[in-house]
Amino acid sequence: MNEIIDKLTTYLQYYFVRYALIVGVLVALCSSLLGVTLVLKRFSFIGDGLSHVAFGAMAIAAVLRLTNDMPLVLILTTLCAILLLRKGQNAKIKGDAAIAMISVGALAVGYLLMNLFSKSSNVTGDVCTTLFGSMSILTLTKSEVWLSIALSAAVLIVFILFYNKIFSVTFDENFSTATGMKTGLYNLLIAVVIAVIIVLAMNLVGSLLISALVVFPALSAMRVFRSFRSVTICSAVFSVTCAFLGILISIVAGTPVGSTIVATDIVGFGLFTLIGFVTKGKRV
Amino acid sequence: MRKAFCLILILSLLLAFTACNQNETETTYDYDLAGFSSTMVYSVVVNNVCGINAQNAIDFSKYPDNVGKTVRFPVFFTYTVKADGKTEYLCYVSDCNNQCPSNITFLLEFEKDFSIEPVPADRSTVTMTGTFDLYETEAGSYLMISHARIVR
Repeated sequence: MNEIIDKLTTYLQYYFVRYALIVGVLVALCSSLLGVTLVLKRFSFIGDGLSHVAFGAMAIAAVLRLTNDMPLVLILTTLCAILLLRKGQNAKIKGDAAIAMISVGALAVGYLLMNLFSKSSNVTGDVCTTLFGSMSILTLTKSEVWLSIALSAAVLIVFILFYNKIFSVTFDENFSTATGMKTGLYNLLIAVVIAVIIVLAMNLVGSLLISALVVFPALSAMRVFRSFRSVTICSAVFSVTCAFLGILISIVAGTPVGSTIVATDIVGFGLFTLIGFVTKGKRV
Repeated sequence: MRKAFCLILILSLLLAFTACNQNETETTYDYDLAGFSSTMVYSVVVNNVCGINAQNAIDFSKYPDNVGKTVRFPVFFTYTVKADGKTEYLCYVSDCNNQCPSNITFLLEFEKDFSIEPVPADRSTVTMTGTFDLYETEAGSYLMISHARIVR
């Protein structure tokens, strides 16, 4: 145990480990807050779909040799998020079918573009890094950290300011519309926020594992708590703890960061299921 | 009594000198990553030794100051037999537990008095010491480890 603590103390002296922890915790916090809304709106898999769109956008940015791919990725992902969340309900291709179509379509086009036009000598490595986020979180620059902090702060402010509206849209969209609430506008807001979270989370766990950050904290909290507020708070604490532990475990054990965080989420989910089973009927 | 005291004093002095000597001979490294996990070794090398350029590719020119710096780190050892029959020894640090081909490879130039016999198994993990250096090819400059030595 002492050896592990010594190792961690040494590792924490490196700036990139501190950057990874800051960004990891912030991304986990943001994704867990919106995760509750997405799970309740039956849009659990939207994270996966949008992350594949982000992968496709990154491929386009790589082909265009853009120095900073973040703006392009953010714009394209936001557009698809709006398409899925705002228009999805009334579109001819609905919900899960639309997500599946956009998800695999973007993944295929992205990989195709990277293979055909990428100037990189290591296409497989690039694809692997983007899909599993292998080491991206440990190679962040200072400007990327500040950008993540700014975007996370924006997401948190939006969530706190519009908490009641998000709550209404999540539980009964038709009733909210009937009471004169601009549900379309709030769905748009949720779509934009989700797109921002997806783009941020790609660095942390990669595009294939993003759904885990959205789904596991919310579902784990729902095992133990019932009210929207307690589920949201528990989900945030759960997600932040798992991300923090996951990053620490991965740097000590030398395992891939993204999959270690998700594995920690899975263990946490198991634990919360057990707690929910024991405290059945006493949920708050 | 006096003789015993003198003997103890001499022995203590000898011990102290020996200890001092040990400290002096202990080599220090600019990058001492011995005992670090593979994730940390890769991160340190990418963040402090090579750097990544705008195209997300390893950029050896980013930290020119590292040429000449000494290192001790756990690496994967490998070798290839070239067309002319000569064996080229290499080592690499790898991301995500060697699952992705994003390895950073260093050409090895062993110290003159150092024998690598028995040659470690291909892709086995060894602890390597040496000095960061650059070598030029038509395709560009690459990193190498000069004065290399396998310590474990």
